[in-house]
Amino acid sequence: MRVAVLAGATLTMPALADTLEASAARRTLTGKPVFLTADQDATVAELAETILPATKTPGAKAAKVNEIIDVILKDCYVPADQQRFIEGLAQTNKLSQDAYGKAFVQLDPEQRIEIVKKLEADAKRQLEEMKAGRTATTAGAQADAQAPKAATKRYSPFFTILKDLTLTGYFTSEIGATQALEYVAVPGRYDGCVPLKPGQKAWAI
Amino acid sequence: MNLNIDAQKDMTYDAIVVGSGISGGWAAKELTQKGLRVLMLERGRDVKHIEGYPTATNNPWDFPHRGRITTQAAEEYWANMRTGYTANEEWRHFFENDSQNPYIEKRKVDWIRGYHVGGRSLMWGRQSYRWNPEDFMANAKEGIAVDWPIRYETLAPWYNYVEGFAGISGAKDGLDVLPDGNYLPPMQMNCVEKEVKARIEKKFGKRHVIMGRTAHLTAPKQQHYDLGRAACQFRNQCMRGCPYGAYFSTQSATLPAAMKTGKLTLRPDSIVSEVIYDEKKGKATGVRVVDQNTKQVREYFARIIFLNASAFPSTSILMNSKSSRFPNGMGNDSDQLGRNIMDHHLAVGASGSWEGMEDQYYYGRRANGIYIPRYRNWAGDKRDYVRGFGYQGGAGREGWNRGNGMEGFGAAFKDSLSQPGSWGISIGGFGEMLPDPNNRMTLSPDQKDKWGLPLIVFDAAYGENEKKMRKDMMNDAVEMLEAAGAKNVHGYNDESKNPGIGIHEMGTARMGKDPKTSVLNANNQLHAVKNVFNTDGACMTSASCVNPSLTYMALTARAADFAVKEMKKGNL
Repeated sequence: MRVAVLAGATLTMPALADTLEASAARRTLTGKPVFLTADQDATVAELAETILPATKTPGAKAAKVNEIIDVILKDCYVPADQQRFIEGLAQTNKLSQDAYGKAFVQLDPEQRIEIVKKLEADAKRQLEEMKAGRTATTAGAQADAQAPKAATKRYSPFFTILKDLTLTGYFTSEIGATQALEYVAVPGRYDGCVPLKPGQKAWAI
Repeated sequence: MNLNIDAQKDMTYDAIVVGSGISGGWAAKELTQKGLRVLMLERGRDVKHIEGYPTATNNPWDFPHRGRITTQAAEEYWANMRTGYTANEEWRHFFENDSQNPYIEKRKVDWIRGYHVGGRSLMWGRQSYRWNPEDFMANAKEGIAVDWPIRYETLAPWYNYVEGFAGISGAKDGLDVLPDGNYLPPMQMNCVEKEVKARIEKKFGKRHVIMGRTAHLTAPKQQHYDLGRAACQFRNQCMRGCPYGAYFSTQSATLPAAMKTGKLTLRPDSIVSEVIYDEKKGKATGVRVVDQNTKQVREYFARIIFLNASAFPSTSILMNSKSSRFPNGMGNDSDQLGRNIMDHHLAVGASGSWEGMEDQYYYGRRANGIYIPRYRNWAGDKRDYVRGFGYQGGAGREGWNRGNGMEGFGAAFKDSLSQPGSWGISIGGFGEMLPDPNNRMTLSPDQKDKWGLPLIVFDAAYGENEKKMRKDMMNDAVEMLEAAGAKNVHGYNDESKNPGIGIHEMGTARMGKDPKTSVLNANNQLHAVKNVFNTDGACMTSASCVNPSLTYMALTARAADFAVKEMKKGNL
């Protein structure tokens, strides 16, 4: 029977369109970033590891999260967001230089945490300003007319993009899905009510 | 075209089926099993069962962008971007590149297409509900549009027949509003859903929370195994194509059944431009086809023609089939062809969090949810709008992506995301849309696609009845979730969506009793051309609020049975 044959077999995988896989393939083939510079790529790798460090389970660096961030940034983000991300990396190193006289990648883990706290606070402030800007516009036509345009424009701050891509990159990686989470490719059945075992991990998908 | 007699013979069949999706697959299966030699034409590429599903067994990390949409795809798939999910990397290859297949919008319609063998049967939502007797009578009782020429009782045995073959999982809930069918065992609710069901039913009495009824084999029968189908594996990756054939699709079910007869010829890459009409015979004699790759034009001939290209393309083909008898499109004496566009309006409902039950989880990924059948304007309830809505929804525990909404990072943050999050529940409405003759499609007089066929022009919008209904759809959702004990309940009513967003487009060649006011008769024949049938969404006279595909299946099986009987009687 068709299905029995399938069980142990690898499906034939016709190549997807070049445009879909080109960046990821190029990154794997050359080992070089496709969007970031080598320095920026190294900074992203350490930032991601600071957000999701190795604990009982491997961290973001082991899962090569910087590589998928590089590819997704290139293919899935519009230029304005790409630009904000690059500026955010520069800002990270500026904060690092100002506080410790070193680039972010040269800091020790505790120092990195302090810098990332600043990035997080900065993103929080930007989001609150955007929210306040919107509140002002709804307060009345006059306030709207007087409000500077930039204050009402919505965008994702650098740290928001970085954290989103780090979480996505890690928890959808093989390491993240199978070690930090529990991945069952073919569950085979559905049980609606199952007592949670102590320490049981969340399903990966 | 200059054809010799032998060539014409090669191009002649007993029946031609245009389209290979849910209804086309059924037409091909029924007609071949009744002994007819059938040609099934599909405008798009071939998709073979299993080997044609390139991402079906991918792990999350196998996707180059982990499922995300590239900026290039976002531009090219501009209509698909309105759904928020159809352009996803996991299954984008089954949806149409809108830039390659443009359409024109006077008023917007979200048109989501699947041009390939199997059509949208590969990506459909699989929810399968019978209409109730009132659904077929509401137009007549309320004086809206025209009456259906058939009743529930006409279709009931056909529902029974198609449910058995397709394999529909569901419980017999004994509700008038949602007649029970011929079901495989239902899937299970999880702990929170069970609790929500108990509390809502206790508080509201006439409102019910049931397990969704879906076209999945929960316990296959011999007839399903015989086609190479197997039980649902609860992977919830259905839209990538199912390598187990566990949900109903053309590839898993109707196509292998039709192929077994040895009487089906399937021809992909064949865009039907028009139905050929013989003025002397007063009948259609065949169809004209443009090869999507070579642009070569061919003609195929048959005694009967089933148009199952999905609502808008079937309508477009009829509109493009002009003759001196039908200057405004074949079968369009009523001027109803292309009018009365309907869909189900959605993007309205509520969600909330759930405190407690933290010691409970679930195993497996259930591609199904709970369903709350219509209760408005039902059993004595009376609102300031007509018809009603149902809800689809479900409860689950938050996953890792809750981390984006949380402050913090680092070791403790990471390890907390390895644990299941708190429970949440959401329900989203599916509302009935009324037929309105001003919601219509026409063909552009001057703009053509790359095959030289006129572009479709849409001009449609939701009406006042839908807008009033949506207030209830949001408020009732909030009220029920709060009554069920959910916390932080948030209602939403996104009015930025357009007809078509439900991907349940219907109504543009409606059935009716009177040729002056409808396009099709009670047997899905064109009133004016009896050997042309339509049994896809175009034939629908009203929309109900339940998902339509099961009804297309039943109508198709019934029309095919009628057609073959008529042929045997010499009437066609």
